Amino acid sequence: MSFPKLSRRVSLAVIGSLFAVAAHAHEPRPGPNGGWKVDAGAWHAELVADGTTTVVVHLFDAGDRPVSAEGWSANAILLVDGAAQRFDLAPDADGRLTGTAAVAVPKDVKGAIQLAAPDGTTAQAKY
Amino acid sequence: MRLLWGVVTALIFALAGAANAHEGHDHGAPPPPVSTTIAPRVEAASTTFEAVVVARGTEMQVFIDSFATNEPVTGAAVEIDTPTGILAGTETEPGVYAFAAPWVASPGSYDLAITVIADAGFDVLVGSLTIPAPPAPPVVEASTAEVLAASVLGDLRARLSARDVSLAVVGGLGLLIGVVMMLVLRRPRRSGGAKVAAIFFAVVAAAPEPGKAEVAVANAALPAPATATRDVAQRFPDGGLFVPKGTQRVLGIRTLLTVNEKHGRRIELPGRVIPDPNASGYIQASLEGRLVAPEGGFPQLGSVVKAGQLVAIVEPTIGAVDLADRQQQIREIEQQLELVTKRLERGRQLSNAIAKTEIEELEIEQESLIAQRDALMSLTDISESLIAPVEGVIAAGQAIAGQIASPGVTVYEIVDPDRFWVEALSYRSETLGTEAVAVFADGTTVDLAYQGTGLADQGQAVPVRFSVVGQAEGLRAGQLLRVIAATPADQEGIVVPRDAVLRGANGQLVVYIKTNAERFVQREVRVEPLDGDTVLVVAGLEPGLRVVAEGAELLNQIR
Repeated sequence: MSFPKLSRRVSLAVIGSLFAVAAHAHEPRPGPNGGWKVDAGAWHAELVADGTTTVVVHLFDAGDRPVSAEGWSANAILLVDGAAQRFDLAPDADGRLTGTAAVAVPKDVKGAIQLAAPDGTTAQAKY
Repeated sequence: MRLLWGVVTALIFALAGAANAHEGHDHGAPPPPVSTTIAPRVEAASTTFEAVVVARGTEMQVFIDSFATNEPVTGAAVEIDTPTGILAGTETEPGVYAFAAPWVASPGSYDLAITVIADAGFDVLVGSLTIPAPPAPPVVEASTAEVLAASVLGDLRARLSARDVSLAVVGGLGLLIGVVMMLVLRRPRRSGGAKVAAIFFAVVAAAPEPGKAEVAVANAALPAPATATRDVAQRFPDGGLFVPKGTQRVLGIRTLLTVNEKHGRRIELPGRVIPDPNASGYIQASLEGRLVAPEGGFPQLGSVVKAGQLVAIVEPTIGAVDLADRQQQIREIEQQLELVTKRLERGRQLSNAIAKTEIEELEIEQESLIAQRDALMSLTDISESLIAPVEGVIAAGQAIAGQIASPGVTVYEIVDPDRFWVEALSYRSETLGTEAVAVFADGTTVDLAYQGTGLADQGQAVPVRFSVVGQAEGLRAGQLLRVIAATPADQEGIVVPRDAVLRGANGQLVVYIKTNAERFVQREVRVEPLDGDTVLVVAGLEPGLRVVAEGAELLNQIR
């Protein structure tokens, strides 16, 4: 008889702990390349926008060591002037992810980057 | 022996009766479904918005609220970037956006980026929705007796629900057999063999027929749990609450972001409403007498009187002893007067022999006596007019024609309904600022201005007087209230509405903090008075938290 009750408690606790984790992630902080760096899954991602249409994303591991973007794929959803701009980011020769938006992207842009690692792991970064 | 048979018979009857009673009955309302599952969900938040994605069936419901106030965000354009493409949502209820997503039915982890474009701002929220694999069906181990009981009961229930006639037949047979048995056993001359035969017959007849005696196995008696159509708020063992967004919407939960502020320190004093001393008055008689109505009658409670208006007349009453005394005095004076008059007449006839001064003295004495007599005789005619000293409304008192008014007893109390004061009692000698607020029992507030503090103790407290600022509707002299008075000192704290502070189960003051989109925890706080609607939390909270400002009482009722 106690089994369903126990499982309910466990499920509540698990859900609660998930929420607790979700709340403390993704605090933007200045990155080494002049952009904003946030947590993205097991990695850190720095978004650099300089007022042009070009957007660059630098990847780091959990210890903030640079990670090459080779083999990665990503897409960006950035909000510019109240409209969502969606475009893909691709690895470039310097091991970064670069993409081109349809409009100029300001430095403190709001948005999200969805990342896919070479091993298929996905992560999201929120700015 | 006969007693035993009686018991057996009664039992048979009772069983038959029980079967009949259940015929056609349902067994009360089914027990409420226990929320064993909460729909898979994920929450995402930014500084502007807070989103909760709930996967239900083949669709996703997204609740979007303001992060700081928990107010639903309506009329927003919401899109979700999912692994299968971009979905556009439709607002089904205010602040609830639905997305058709058949893939949420299959277990897995899905990264979602929710784009919200609303009047309040725009943002992209990210989260990962995890759909768990369906749980294995629970295995219940039961003893043989339990299985047997369950099977018999299950069979009975099935028969009842199917309105099986065999139940009625068995019940009726039992009744019949009982009657037969009674008749048989009550006859003492029957032989023992007949008795045994009768019992055998009864037992055989009552036993279920072999063909129908198959005991249905508890064929998965537990119904499969239906998919919950809504999530239910729950209290965690640690006192925290899980409150689904849908419930929060119903309860009207609103939050505010805590900010440290500096406010003047306030103290709370018990007080009561008094009439403005300069705009109120008493009407009292100065001598004892009967009240007589003026022209137009006595003013009644609530009627307006003007300053100088005649409200009552007092006709002095004279006691019997007083009257006798006075008559005696009058007689004595009249007697003296007669003597003086006669001496005066005689003196005037002998004016040559008597000195003129003597005649003049007698004349003065005569005049004086006449004046004394007249004064005493006219005393019964003196009446006192009672005049309203101020303009206002009759607040208390009642005058009836013929009522005896005594000196010092209030006939009427006149109050200006627009001018009230408040007298509070201060148990600490505090220097008070000019501002204060009166809070009534029903929560209404009235602004006050400090007028002065007495120096003489009244029951170990000092009376402090305030005047009511502006028009105050519905005030009555004598009303009890709390006065929140400013002091020159400053105090730092977090302002929260008075309703946000609750009394916890142990009597401590608590507030609810929203830690996550659907999770609330209690915090013990220490509060100081601030004004009628808000209090200052001086300990227990820090800036940047989301305190439940509205609906805290409703949250507290969740068990």
